[in-house]
Amino acid sequence: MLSIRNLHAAIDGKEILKGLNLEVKAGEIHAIMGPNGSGKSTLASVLAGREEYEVTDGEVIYNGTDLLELSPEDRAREGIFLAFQYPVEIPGVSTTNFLKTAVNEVRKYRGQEPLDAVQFLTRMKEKMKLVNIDQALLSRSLNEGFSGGEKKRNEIFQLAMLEPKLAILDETDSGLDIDALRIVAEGVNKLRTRDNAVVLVTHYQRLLDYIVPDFVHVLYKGRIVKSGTKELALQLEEKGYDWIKEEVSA
Amino acid sequence: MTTTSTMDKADFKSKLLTHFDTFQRGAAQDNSPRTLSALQQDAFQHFRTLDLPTTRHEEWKYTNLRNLLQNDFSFATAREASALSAAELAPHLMEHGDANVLVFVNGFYRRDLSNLVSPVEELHVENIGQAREKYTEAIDKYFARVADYQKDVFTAMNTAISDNGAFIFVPANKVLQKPVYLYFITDATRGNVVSQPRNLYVLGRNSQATFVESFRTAGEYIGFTNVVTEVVTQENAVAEYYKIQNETANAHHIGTTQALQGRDSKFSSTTISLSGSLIRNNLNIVIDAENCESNLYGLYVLNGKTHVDNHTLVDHARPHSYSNELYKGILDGKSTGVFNGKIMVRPDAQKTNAFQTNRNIVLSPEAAMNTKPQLEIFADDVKCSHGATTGQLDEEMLFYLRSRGIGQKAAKALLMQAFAGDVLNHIRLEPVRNYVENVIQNRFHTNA
Amino acid sequence: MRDEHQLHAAVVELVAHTKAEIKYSTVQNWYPGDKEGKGGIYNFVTKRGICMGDSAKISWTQVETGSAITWKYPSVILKGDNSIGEFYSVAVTNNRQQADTGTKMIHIGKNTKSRIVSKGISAGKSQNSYRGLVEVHRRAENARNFSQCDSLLMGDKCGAHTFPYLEIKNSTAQVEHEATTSKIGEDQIFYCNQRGIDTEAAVALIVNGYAKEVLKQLPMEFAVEAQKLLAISLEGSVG
Repeated sequence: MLSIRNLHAAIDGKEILKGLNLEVKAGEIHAIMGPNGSGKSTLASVLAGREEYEVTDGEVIYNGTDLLELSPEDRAREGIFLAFQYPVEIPGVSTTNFLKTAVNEVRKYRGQEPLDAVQFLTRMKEKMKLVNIDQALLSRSLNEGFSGGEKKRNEIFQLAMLEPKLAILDETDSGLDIDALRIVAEGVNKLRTRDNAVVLVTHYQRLLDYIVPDFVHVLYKGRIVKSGTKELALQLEEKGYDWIKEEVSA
Repeated sequence: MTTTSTMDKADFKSKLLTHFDTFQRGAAQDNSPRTLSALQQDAFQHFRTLDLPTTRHEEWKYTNLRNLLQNDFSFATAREASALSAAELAPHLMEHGDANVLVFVNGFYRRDLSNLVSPVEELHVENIGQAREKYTEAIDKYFARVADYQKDVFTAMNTAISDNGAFIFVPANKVLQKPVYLYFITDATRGNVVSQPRNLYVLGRNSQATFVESFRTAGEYIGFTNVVTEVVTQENAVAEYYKIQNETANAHHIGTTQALQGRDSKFSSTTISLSGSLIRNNLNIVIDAENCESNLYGLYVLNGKTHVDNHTLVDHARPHSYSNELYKGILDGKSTGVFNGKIMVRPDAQKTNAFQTNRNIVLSPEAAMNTKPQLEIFADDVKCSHGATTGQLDEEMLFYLRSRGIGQKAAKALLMQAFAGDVLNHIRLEPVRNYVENVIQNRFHTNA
Repeated sequence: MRDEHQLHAAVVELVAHTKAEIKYSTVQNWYPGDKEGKGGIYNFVTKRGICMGDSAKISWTQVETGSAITWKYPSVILKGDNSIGEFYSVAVTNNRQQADTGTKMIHIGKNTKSRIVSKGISAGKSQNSYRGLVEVHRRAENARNFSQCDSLLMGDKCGAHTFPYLEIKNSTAQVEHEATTSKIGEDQIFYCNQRGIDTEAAVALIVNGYAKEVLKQLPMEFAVEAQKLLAISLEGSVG
């Protein structure tokens, strides 16, 4: 589904990703871990098409097309979803209205009829249960004045509504208490199918107790330096990153 | 006038200085291998040089300590006077159900009255005075590093003298299933007494825990509790903290709760003041890492001559954090209240969201409320707001309820409960919520 | 013809007697001139209302997207006791347009109330000003006013200015003024893009959200029209 080869990316002239390789197949869950400043969030931003990042080398092939050629909205319409580390606030625009616009823009791109108000509300009610979010929150301005946990749950709700093929969760588990973490993880697990894939960018092994990854990768200095399974994450939790750093420099 | 007040202060202070000497000698004679730490000595030096505040200090403008400081306290007898029996203690406990319980009388830990139910993998508890041996790193890193004894005289006094209180450590990745109730009972049945508990709660990475501090005074003599609690939430940890005060009319309380938050952590505090003579609550939160969340809730329901002063500070030093503060008060009789809430957003703290609200209902013409919100913002991409109101019960609402057949007293009680509800609804522990609701419900129905 | 300027100078006067209520809505999209500011209408309009009798109410609502230059200050004289005046405005300027608009609320009667909600949106190299007066006369007991003046900037070559005048001669008056200036941020647009919404649609969404409080004052069919107009006026202003 996603094939990243020798990806180099820079911001303000400073190279952050330095030859990153990653293969993600449909049905898989990948976790990307790494110390602060290793390039985890940069990877998520580059895949979603944030313009501040300049891709200086390498390629990203997504379902047979060159992803880097697509505008951010077309990437979204092709099924890439980024759950933001810091979801943005938009005053005056309710989550409901925002999502109705998004869902119908995506449908238009795919040559589908827009959902009417009734169809949209039916779908919303169904997905609301999935992430345990209530109507009052969705009527408020998008993310405005939301607590950290509310913002993160709202990201997963949007994920549910947009049914993407490739979901990238950028530190969605940070700052959540155990109940909120369970809700978010359950939401992701329920949305998992054979046809979609998930990339979890995370700081904390704890998330992986709830969403079990097929692969765990360690990102360090802009490159994936070690890959393994869930056990690797447990090792990292126990021993930290120093041994990896030593291995790399050895 | 000025002379007498200086005299009082000197008295209080000189007595304390003498006490410190005996305390120091006592500690040495105890055959205890531990002597007073350099930190305690340093705190003591600061206590010696710092002035006890008068209303001329900006931070104490509305809170006069003269009545407190003129009392004759016996510092030495606190331990002997802490012999409260289980039966005498019972009325001071909440119906907390299956929970960890730590009881301190006059600041001293009472093992016989305490009970830990959580497994030791989840919860480590030590007396703060003995914790250094086993938890050297945590104590050296956090004890008295967060609460500023260099500027605050009462924190200095607590740091210098007290080495009793709870050190609690929740290891990384552990979710403490049962809350910890800490009862701080000041036993003033035999004489005036000073109690100085000192606590440090450290929550490891990814851990989660709930703490309830309940302050009560037994007996008719004058009690003075000077407590300092430090809470540290390491990366991605979640702490829920409650402070409940339901004291006697002769009880004085000066307390500082100091939180230090690590990256992605969450700290929620709820401070409930129901009665006492003079209560001063300092709540200081330092957000020195990204993506933190802090919630500060407060409720004070006062009558008689109770004075409650809530001083809060949220110091945003790093970007992408969120703080939300809601303090509400109902003042009746001759009670007085102070709310001083400061939000600091430092230049690095871009994308900060900080909200503050203080609402008060003043029921009697002799009650008074002083509110001082302070926003100091040095970053330009932030969202901050504050609001403060002080007023009476809404006459139109009252009339509406009465026109539906609800009696005046019941109508008032209903409106006050609704007003307090905004804060009470944030109390996630049912035993605590029930306890507070019961106290204020009885109050509304007898007083209104 | 299109290279020259035309003048539109209209006068509207409203009189509301005891317990009468007038709601006057305008959506204006005169030719604004080309991108370089060549041509376009000069829209200089005088609009005044008076609440003559007790408990009368006058409410002005305007959506201004067109004209090269707009000068317009719909006003209400609150003479009758308990009378109410309202002013809701959205003014959009793009390219070289200038809009200078606002209101006057003159409180003369007792217990009079006024409410001002002004939302300016500036893009391109345009200038957008709010200029308003709230005047409370000496005998106007218990007058109340609430003013909210917000500015939204798109890009860094446009300007937004706010000139509120408050003249209060009665101490029982309660006058509140709030003003905000914000920018459509790159991060807001990117967030929308990431959900499949293109930049034009994202701007329309954000702008309509921002102006919602005013747009909902318009009659239904007008409101739909106005929303589309906002989007068209701002076409090509971001990205």
